[in-house]
Amino acid sequence: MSNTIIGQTLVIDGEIVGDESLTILGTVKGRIELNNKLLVENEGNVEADIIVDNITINGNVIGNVDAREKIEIESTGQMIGDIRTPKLSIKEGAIFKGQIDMVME
Amino acid sequence: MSEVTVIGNSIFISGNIEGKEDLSVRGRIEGNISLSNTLFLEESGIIKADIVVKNVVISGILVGNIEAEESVEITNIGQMIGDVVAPKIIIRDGAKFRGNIDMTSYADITEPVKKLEPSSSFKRPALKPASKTLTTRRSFSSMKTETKTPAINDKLNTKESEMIKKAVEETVNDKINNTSVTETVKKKKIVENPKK
Repeated sequence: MSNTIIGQTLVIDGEIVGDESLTILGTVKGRIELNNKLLVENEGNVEADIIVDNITINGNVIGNVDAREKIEIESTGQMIGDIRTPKLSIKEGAIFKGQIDMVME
Repeated sequence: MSEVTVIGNSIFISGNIEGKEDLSVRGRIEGNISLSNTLFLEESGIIKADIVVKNVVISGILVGNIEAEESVEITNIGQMIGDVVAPKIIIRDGAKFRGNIDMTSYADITEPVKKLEPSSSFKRPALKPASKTLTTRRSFSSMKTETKTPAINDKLNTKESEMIKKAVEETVNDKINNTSVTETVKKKKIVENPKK
């Protein structure tokens, strides 16, 4: 399955739906729904409600995240919003504000 | 990580996309796209959007209007429905297209408007005397049916016109004689009388 990349200068205002991994270097506002992995890079800005399998945050995310498998907020990552996931890791240096709900399966 | 933006096969985006880099679309997009670079619509890509872009290469399916700064290319596997405004448009053999193409609008903006010549320089052709035009018209109409008569007709016409002239002069003279005579008319009479 091919990898979708949203470049640095790109601004998407709307809804993204898909089955493949997505890498965000630019800006996305709206809603993201993926049956795969989402990677928000250092330069990436996401202002959206997110439903994914896995998410790794190196950049900025504002919005609620619902992950089926795992959420990782890396040391450069910043996030404001509510989290719902079975597995969560927040690295040292990361900034987070919001509610966490770790689903017991 | 490469800087090129790729929208993959299974991705569906509905909304606005803006950017300053190349965008390669293999999935689906609905909305508006505004790019200051090249948009590549790959074979598997489907776009339903109004597009403002520098260059577009269409190998997939596009429904919407394009306004391109440089060029629009529809490759041999490309399909498009919509209007195109661009200075350069390439439609390859095998491509499918339905819509309007406008390649002039950018040229119109850059080219200065031609000024109309001033009306004083326009010269009106000299008017011909009425009798002559009559004869030429008659000869033209007679030429269609009769080949020999025009010369005679001309003669007749000149005779006719002379007769008419004389008649008019006479009536004018009669009127002058009857009514009070001014000095200018007197002169005319003096000039015309010797002819008779």
